[in-house]
Amino acid sequence: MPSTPPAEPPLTLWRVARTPRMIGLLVLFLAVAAACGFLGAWQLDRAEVRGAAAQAARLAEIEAQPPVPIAEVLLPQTTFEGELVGRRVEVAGEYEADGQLLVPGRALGERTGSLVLTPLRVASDDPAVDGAVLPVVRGWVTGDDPDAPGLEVPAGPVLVTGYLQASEDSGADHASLAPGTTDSISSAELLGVWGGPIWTGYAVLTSSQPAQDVTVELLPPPTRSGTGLNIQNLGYAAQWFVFGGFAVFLWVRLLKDEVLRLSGAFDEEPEGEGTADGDPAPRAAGGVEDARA
Amino acid sequence: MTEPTGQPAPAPAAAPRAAAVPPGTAGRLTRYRVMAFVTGTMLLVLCVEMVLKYVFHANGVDPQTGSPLPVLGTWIAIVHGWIYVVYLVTVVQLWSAMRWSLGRLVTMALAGVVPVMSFVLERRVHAEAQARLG
Repeated sequence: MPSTPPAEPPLTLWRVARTPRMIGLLVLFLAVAAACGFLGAWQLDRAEVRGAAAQAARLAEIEAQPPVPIAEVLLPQTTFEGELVGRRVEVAGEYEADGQLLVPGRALGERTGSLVLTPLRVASDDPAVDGAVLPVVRGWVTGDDPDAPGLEVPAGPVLVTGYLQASEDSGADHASLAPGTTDSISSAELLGVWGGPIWTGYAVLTSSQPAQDVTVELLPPPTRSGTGLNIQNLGYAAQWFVFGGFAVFLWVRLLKDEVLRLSGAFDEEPEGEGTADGDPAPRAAGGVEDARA
Repeated sequence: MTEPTGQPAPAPAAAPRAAAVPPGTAGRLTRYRVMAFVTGTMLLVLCVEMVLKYVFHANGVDPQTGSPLPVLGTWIAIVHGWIYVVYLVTVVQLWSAMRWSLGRLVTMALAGVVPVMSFVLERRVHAEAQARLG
């Protein structure tokens, strides 16, 4: 705000700013800026609504796909591409109960509990996947006790379907964690605990045959992060805020003109305006530079 | 309107003193000119997209939501928005140097969102500014 201009005795910016004409203009421009801000906020809201709608549509699409054998979309020890997030896969094998870990501090809705992470040793006719380990998040439980009842894995061969999700970053050193728990679902770390070969992502369980204990609650489909806002509306929002900024800038510009006009710079000789407010535009009204008497 | 707008003939050297402009105005005029052309062109492309998308449903509608699908691409609207912001910057810079009225500023700003208007106005503005630049 141009509240403290350089001290120029007769006609300071501040004094001109208080004239009815400039106050009227200020009100006008502030109203314009407020309208722009309002429209910007509205577009932000639209960005959220449309982003959420797009996400919901993507979720519906994910849930509508039939599961495919995991070997068709991802092999062990190969890069997990982002578009695989949420793909439904099916895979047969046997859980390794001894390797099961709890991942405490994870939320399901409003509640905080633990994920149940179990290695599945895959059995398949396809030699590319047979014997490899797929980390499976079997679901979510309250508490963080690895010996709590209900966590037993279905014994023997199981047929599992689930959503694919990318591996997480490595967490703290396993030796420093409570036994039977881990703080991240990281294939690189799990490889050291469970042995390999291992997939670079994990599966979020949707169903298993035979069924598992209902104590373990199933999770909703995973989503890719950063898709929550519609980029077009986000851009419009930013533009409205820029326009609002223009309105404020214009008032400052008009104020400086008014000072010049009142000091008679426009009808007589050019006056080198002694401003240093960071506005590059205003110069002397005349073409000759610094032709002061 | 001061002069016939067809060919911006170089104004006679007898430019009145009050009409003098600060140095650097010629550059501002050029930047405004380029952006008026770019904005106007982009707006026409946007109009074509709008007509194809909303009037003719040239690319069909989304089977789930029933809303028309983009034909040339959503990027056109996004790009036009930012080009218009740049256009406004050049408008304010030129307007500021020329010390035109507030009404002229509003007209120039509007020209970026009314189809074809930027081309028409640019000719007038350019001719007038050229006369002042001398």
